[in-house]
Amino acid sequence: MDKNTKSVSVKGLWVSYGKVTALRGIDIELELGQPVAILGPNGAGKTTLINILSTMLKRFEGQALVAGMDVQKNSIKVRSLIGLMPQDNNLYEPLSGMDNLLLQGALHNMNKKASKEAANDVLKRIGLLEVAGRPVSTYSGGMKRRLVYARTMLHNPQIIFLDEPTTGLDVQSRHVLWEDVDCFSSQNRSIILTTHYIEEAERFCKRIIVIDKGRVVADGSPEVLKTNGEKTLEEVILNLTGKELTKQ
Amino acid sequence: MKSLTAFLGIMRNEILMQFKTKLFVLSLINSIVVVILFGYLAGLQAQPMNHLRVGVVEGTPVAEILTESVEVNAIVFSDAKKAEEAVLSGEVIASVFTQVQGGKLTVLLDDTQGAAARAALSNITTVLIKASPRGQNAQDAQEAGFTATLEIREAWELDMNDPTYLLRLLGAGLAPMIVLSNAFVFSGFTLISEKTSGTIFFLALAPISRIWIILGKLVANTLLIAISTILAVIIAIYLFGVTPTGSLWLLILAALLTGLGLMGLCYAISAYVKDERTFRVVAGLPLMMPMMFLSGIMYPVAIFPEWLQSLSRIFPLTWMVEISHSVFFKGATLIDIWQPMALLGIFAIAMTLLGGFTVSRLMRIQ
Repeated sequence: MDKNTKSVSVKGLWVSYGKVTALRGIDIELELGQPVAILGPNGAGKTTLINILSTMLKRFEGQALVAGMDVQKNSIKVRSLIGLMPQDNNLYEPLSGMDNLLLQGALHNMNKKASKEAANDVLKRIGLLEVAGRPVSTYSGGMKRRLVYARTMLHNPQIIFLDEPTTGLDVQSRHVLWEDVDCFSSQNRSIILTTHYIEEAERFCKRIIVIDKGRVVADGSPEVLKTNGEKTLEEVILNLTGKELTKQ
Repeated sequence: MKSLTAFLGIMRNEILMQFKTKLFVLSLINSIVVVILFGYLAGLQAQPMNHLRVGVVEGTPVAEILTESVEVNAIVFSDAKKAEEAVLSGEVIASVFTQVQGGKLTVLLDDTQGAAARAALSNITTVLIKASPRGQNAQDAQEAGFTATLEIREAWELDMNDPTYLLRLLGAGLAPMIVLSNAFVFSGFTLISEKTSGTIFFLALAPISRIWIILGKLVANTLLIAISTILAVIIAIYLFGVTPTGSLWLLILAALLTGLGLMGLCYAISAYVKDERTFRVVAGLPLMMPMMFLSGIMYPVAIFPEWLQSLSRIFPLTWMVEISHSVFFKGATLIDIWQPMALLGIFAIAMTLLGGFTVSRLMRIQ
């Protein structure tokens, strides 16, 4: 990928689900290799945005480019460059961890040997190598979450979307996962993260985008966002999005 | 090449899933149990149908044969008019007439008697076939001089009073039963499970056309259906004591086409329903149950009243059962069964397209 290519570029993104409008004309440009966190309350439109960028949602207005390619016109090419870690652990539970990863390898045109090598490598990094042969149904919630992460990273993507990656993880698992994400980020690859753990976003991302009710309400580094005397990023978000529970 | 690797990966994954979840084995066992429970055991309790009163006209060759037979309770009438009146008054369930020796055979049936009337007709036909020189099938009966004006269907060529009759019928119906069960389980329930667990959306992220994903699943499951069909034949031979006299390949081809069609249909339904319970209500009651009981797997379609026979012919599984019976009992070739086979081919193509379209759409929406 060209160094000048934006990892993500969206203009006037507008999405409605019936009467509910999820995104209301969002404009975002992300630099390649820049770890970015997208924060906001539940129903703000974070997952919708990620679904569009990962080519899963095609009914929208506006323009969305990933690695310079239109997600609607070049969806297959875009999917070959990205990795998506969804909120849910969408794994084949009766199969082993290794089988789940081998499928991911095959879907990304990796032969069995290459898939197995890549699987062993990523499983070792996140501490699941010893249980790779066990059915996923016997894994704990945290182990499943780490396996979903391993599957996201298996084909060595250029851009990864992490949708609330650490939900349900214990401290140790979080530590292992963020170490790996750090390593990935240092290779000049892009990370787009959504999370409700604001301290994680602050620690790993140099740029924070806050979305509320389908609009970008703040965009900048954590330091820049704390311009009104807020001590934490959580205070910033509460000031921007209000303290009332979301109704959507 | 890129798509081929993914296609093979999806096939491997699908087959692994059907084995690891034990769906393949359970579907096989369930089919055998259902066939035995609803068919065989019910058949053991069934009363022989040779008590049914059938009118014959004195002096005709048919009368001679039927009165000597133990399979028909023949009542002799002095002329055709009295035999006809006996049917209309309900004294007999059917009357048999012949114009002249070697001429046309006409059976007047009391259709209000439903299945019993059909059984009587079946018994009459069976006796006449046995009385013919070769005694093998309807053709022999015709050659012997009984040109039946009625359509003699394959099920009637099995002697219903033969103690092994029902067992042989069930043996031939086992393959269609397994195809029906496999198709519902492998496609409908599996897709709903993939929707619930979210794995279908994981597959949708693969950098290949979604057609390959759907094809990978369909081909893998079709392969399993072919294996099931071979197992069904082996079980039919050793457990039900019936051996196919025709080409096994024709039966496998019919199973593949039926399986593809039913899977496509189930994919289309399961793409729209929310959960397994709704699928059971939408697909199980109006589709699976009627097919199981009305397509001739457990009871010959010929014993049903006309309206039910017409209804049963709507179901693609009836076409497969027809092929299965022809392969098992008639030594059929493709020329003999081209019509149901062609219908199954059309059904398979139409439903595969429908299923593929709906699943592809399901992946796109998300």
